[in-house]
Amino acid sequence: MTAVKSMLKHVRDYNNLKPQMLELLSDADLAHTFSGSPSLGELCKEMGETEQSYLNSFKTTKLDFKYRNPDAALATSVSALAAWYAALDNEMDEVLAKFTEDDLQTTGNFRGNWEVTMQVNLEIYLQAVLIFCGKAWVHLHALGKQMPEQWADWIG
Amino acid sequence: MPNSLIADKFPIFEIYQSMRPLLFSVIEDGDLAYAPANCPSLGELAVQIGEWQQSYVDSFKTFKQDFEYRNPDPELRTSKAKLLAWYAKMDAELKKTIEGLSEEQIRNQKVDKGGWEASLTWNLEIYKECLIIFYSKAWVYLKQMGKELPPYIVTWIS
Repeated sequence: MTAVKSMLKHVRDYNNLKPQMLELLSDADLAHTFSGSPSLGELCKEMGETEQSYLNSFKTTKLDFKYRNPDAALATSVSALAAWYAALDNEMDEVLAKFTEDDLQTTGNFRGNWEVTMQVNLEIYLQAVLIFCGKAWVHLHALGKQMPEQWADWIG
Repeated sequence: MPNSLIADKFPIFEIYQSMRPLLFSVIEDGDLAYAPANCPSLGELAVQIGEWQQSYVDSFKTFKQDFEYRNPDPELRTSKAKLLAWYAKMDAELKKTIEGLSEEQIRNQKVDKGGWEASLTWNLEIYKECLIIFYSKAWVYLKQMGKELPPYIVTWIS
């Protein structure tokens, strides 16, 4: 398998964790909060904004985290989050499917004044998905949810 | 001369590994009993990542991995000092084991993960992800306890 195809499969596998989580949730669950932390819904909205930031970086080779989705209702609606994530994941798939092996080695200003290759930038995006899942895991357990198989295997 | 896994991947891996004692710099023994509703205690999470680490250390020696290892010391989950000493011992063992790998092993050896295989390089990356997941869970616990997290942790996990 080429490095691009392998990376594309990894991204799909990691992104699949998000809809699996949303299938467990009701709108009311998104309000679940631990003191000192954002609500589960706010965490989900933040993950979408993070994904949009990385998606932009895959196109422009520049990464910043300034993007905010203006739709505040996203943090309170499972269906809105699911639709948004699906659109982001599909676009990410399309963008990455066009990458060549050389594209993965392109260096860009992905981290402010820290230049890394596109491949490393992608790997850090996957870490962002895991950071989101690790935080969400605590909320899901507190809500008494049964973990899907991939969550149990990957997140614990 | 260090092998390519040590030269190319281990320095970055050690950055992620160094976040664990940093996280523990804001934790006291009493904090390890803390548990959100329906969740394991912070101490139980800390033991779990140690048990996962042992399974990874073993996987670099035997090239097989399961997650059946359980540390029999019941005091670990309530003792910061014991946890940190355990982690430090395993960190040293992991590095020594990886240093002993040949280039041929790094190129061709796979770890049997029970149904799928990973290269040795990928195996280290997956263990790094286990650490990241542990830090993320612990972040929620520590924020709920009102802890001020070290800036480096805030940069990477917030």
